[in-house]
Amino acid sequence: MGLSSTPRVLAVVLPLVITTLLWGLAKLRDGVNLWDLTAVDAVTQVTALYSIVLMSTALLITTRCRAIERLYGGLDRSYRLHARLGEVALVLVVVHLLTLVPGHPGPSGRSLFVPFVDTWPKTFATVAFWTFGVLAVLTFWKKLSYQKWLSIHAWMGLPFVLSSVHAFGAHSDLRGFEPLRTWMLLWVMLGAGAWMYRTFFYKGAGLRYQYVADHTADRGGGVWDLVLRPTTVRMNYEPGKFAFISVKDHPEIPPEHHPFSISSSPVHRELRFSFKACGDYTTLLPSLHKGYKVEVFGPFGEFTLHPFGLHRRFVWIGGGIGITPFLSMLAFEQTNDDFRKIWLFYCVRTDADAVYHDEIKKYVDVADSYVDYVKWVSDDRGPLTAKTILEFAGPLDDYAVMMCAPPKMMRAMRKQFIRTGLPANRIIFEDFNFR
Amino acid sequence: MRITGEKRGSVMVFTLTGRLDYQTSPAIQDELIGQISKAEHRLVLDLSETDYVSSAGLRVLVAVAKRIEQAGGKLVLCALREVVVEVLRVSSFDRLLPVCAARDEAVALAAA
Repeated sequence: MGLSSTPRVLAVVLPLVITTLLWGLAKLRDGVNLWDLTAVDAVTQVTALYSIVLMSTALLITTRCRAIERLYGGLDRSYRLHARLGEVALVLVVVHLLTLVPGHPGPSGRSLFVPFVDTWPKTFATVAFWTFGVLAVLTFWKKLSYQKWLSIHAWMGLPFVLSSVHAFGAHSDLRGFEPLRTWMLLWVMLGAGAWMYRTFFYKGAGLRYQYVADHTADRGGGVWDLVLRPTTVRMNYEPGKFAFISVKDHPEIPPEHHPFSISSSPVHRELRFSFKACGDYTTLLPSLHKGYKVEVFGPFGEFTLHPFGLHRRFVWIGGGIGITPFLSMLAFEQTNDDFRKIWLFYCVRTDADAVYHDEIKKYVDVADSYVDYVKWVSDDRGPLTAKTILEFAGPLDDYAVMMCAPPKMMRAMRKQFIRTGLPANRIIFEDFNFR
Repeated sequence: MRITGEKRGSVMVFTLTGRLDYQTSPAIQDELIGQISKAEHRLVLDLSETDYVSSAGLRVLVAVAKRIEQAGGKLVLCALREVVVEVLRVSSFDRLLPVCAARDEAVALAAA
């Protein structure tokens, strides 16, 4: 959230506008007066085209391509958009089918929902619909482990391909009007290519860096550090970024891809991730002993200082393990002359939860930038509010807020800061939610 | 960092050359606090040769200013480079410490 949303809105809306225009031109070319079309016919046709464009966009996002990530404002934000686009595409597919029911033979348009009883384009559509539906239900089933969920979700490209084949077989405008056909073919190829790359080739072909485990460190309260050493070229990154890791050849840790926030400074050769051991995978990671190979894919994310280059005063709020990106930023502040005034709030429930307090204190004393640090224990002082922060920081002008904390806390703080008059584009937060 | 001093009437003027940062600030702080202990309570810090002031450097300036204030004296900064002006402005320390453009002006202000 935060920063300008215009590019990502345009990136979604503009293709839909172009699709609509081309569809309208196809109708005009065929001598159809658009006003003579029934609303149902128009909705049937347009929803089919929109769902292909939106599904293709959703699939493009999964490639983790740097340019696409930038366009959509960071990988976690891109993935949130990916989820929304998938939901909208599903609704469009359902609407498309429902609009076909009245004019379809058989009771309640039964043949629409039963495969292999009609023409081959319709069979493709039926199979696509059921595949999409079943995968969507499994996607929303939160009880699945992340990796199982991911392996099932990866097949979402299949209904996309099937419905695209259906569209080209059944949609007369696509067959008859070259500009619309080329435009839609482009989206189908982009979407199908993105799906194939992400599902079948990414593990082997995606940009990655080779590291080995150096050590893990128990910080207390279930929080661990994982420190890696590069074996060849190290990954360059900005403080605040995150990366996916995949452990190789470990007897217990599966070679899955999981995202972790970087907590080390980019000037150091070692790469440190900090995490809370609370899931199936993270509880296994502490057993990653020295020497095991780890592939690092990244860096990702836009939770960095560079979008706020014009501002020199920052409020940083790290809630619990959300302090991780700020550890990286703070470590980096020891080694740069780009002076900033920073108010850092480390919010924890109990004093024992403030496992990085000593490390932060050490950084604060030696940072080039001027850092005012407050450890906020909510059990003792109640929840941290924007009003309290502004009381600490004094009257502020020209400042920006960066937050990494539980989503509920970030949403509440964002509302409070906006109420104080801070523009929304000066509030940036990251919740690292990829599901 | 190098520090050199000269006496201008009742005012002691120090020129700081180099970077005032985490590594150099303890020695500079010791030197300046030492001068205050020797009853030098009117100080001018000429920062025309100072390349950079970090947060640790700012803490030194504040510590020295506080010590002088307790002794009833005055600390004035002068001839700041653009980068140092920016540091003081961003941190709002320009509201706490008197700053003059020229050394003579700073000496006059410290002596007043």
